[in-house]
Amino acid sequence: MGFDLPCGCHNATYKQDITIIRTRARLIWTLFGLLFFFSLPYFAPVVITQILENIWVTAIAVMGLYLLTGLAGQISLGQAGFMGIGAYTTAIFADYFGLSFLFCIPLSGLMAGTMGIIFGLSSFKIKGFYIAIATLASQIILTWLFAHLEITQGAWGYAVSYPTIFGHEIGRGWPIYTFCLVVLLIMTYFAKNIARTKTGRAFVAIRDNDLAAKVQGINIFVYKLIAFFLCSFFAGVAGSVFAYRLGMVTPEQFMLMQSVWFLGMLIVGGMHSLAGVYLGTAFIIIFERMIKIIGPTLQNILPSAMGGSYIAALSLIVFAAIIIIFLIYEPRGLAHRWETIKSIYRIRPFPY
Amino acid sequence: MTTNSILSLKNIRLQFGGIIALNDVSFSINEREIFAIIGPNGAGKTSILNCISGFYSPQKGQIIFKDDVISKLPPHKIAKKGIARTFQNIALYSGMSTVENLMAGRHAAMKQNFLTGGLFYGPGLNEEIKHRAVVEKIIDFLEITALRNKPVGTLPYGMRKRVDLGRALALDPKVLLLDEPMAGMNVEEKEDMARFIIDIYETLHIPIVIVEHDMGLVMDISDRVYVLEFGREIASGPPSEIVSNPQVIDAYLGREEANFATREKDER
Ligand SMILES: Nc1ncnc2c1ncn2[C@@H]1O[C@H](COP(=O)(O)OP(=O)(O)OP(=O)(O)O)[C@@H](O)[C@H]1O
Ligand SMILES: [Mg+2]
Repeated sequence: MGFDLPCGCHNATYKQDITIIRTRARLIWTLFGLLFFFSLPYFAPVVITQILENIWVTAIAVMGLYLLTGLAGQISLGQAGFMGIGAYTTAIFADYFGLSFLFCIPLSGLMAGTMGIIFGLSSFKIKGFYIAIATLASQIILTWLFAHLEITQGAWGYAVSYPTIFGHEIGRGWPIYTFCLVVLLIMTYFAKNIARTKTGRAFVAIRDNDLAAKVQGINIFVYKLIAFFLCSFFAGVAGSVFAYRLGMVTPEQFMLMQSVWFLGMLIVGGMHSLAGVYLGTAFIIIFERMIKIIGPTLQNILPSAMGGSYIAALSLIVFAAIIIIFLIYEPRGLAHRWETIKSIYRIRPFPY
Repeated sequence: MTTNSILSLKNIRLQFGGIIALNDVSFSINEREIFAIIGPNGAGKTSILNCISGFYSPQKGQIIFKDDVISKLPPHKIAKKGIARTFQNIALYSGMSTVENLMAGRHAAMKQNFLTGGLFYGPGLNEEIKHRAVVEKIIDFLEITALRNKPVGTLPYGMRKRVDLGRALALDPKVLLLDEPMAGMNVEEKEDMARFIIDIYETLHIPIVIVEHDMGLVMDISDRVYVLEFGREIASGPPSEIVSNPQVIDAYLGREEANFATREKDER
């Protein structure tokens, strides 16, 4: 949440005060950034665009966690499971029934969101740590269902073809890249506005002081359910786009470890801001990729007795180390670092 | 009871295991008064407020607000009826700024949901602007304009108490419960707070229930005083009667004054 305005900038009306892009410089930066990322596939190597596609999709799921964990203060270890629900919904409705993505994406979100409410109902009776365990259970149940239900086709899963618009395929390369980015931007718009209106404030109120929230007329149970719904809805949308992009849906894509990675991304980025979602997701995905690249080289250098298993575990070990380092040294995440750097420029030329 | 009573407690009894926190507490608050509850530490003052706002459910008795029995309602429903309160230990939303705290306080008055809010266009946007205007009025009223965008965690204690009061006002209260609003403040801050309380009462016409330890202040601003000891009423009436009530002097004022006298002697 930003507090200070750039020097020399004042708000004449409340409407101005609540707009996000307030200065011309900020507008120019935003447009420049959008232009850069939208045009990237035309000049960047395929590896880069693929990593970015992955970041765009993953950020949608992490954004859901931002609403639930960052704002409402409830931990979920089941985000990958709900993402799976979205992916399977899309697989089934797009391929089997041949429905458009315009229908499949919201439907995937709604399916996941509904399941989120069902699992979230447990928060009526339990709190805090125990909710985390309940979401863990939901993750395990969902993974099991994906692997064993008839409709999910077990380990084979589903093949999903690229989405189409007006008969044109949104295929490999820049089309699917743009597709992922546009969905991400729409979801960002929603998340940002939810966060700064009634619902988001109720979430933070519950997180910061649930007694006070109650005497302010906030129905804690209902708002926790809304938080679970939104979190899972975002996961479902992420799963849908994930399925379209990757072209296949199998159970092992949505396992517990993935949920833990999502939480890790949120922690590294910083729980309390949307910028943190982007930064954390990008950081972890790029980092994981680098380990994959460095890994084989390391394998050649290290004694063969330690071998491949060591490398396989490497990314997990380093991941754990990063999370711990962030929790200890920068619990407010990369976003806070980013804010600190920005504020130096913001009060220029009068840094008092 | 008088016809224009807005909130009344009838024979409230509250027990925690073997401890009787409140025993046969009855009183009734008029639409036009500042009603003070006093009593030594642990007398049960906060417990009374907790019963009214629905945190504790008394084993016996009824709480009536306007014409409804509210003693079985959950806290958020009681709040929506217009009973606002502040806390003895400040309970602000520490992650939000002053404005956001007050906007969060408007929750009960806001009608939009996460869909319209998420779109932030049309009704969702209009509601934000409309309630922001209300909040800004409260901010002006409490003279906290300079703190508007500060995270409340960084504010000094006295100011946090003031924001807490502002957040309670944001609920559009029909009655306001204040739990030791001046505790821990210096003289100047206390005077400011007293001024705001009287202003709220006189310009906004909101009846106020105040729990307070500072006797001088209580006697100055309240219309009626209710004295509690070990969860029981020992006296109630206008301040002038209370100060001369022998039981009260014995149980409470006397001790205070005795302390005060010895302290003065020590200083000399
Ligand atoms: N949740 C609870 N569980 C058990 N006992 C409680 C609880 N709340 C209050 N009590 C007991 O009820 C009695 C009254 O407490 P209360 O907090 O209402 O006193 P108070 O008059 O507000 O005191 P103070 O001036 O210190 O704020 C105390 O003996 C306290 O220990
Ligand atoms: Mg108390």
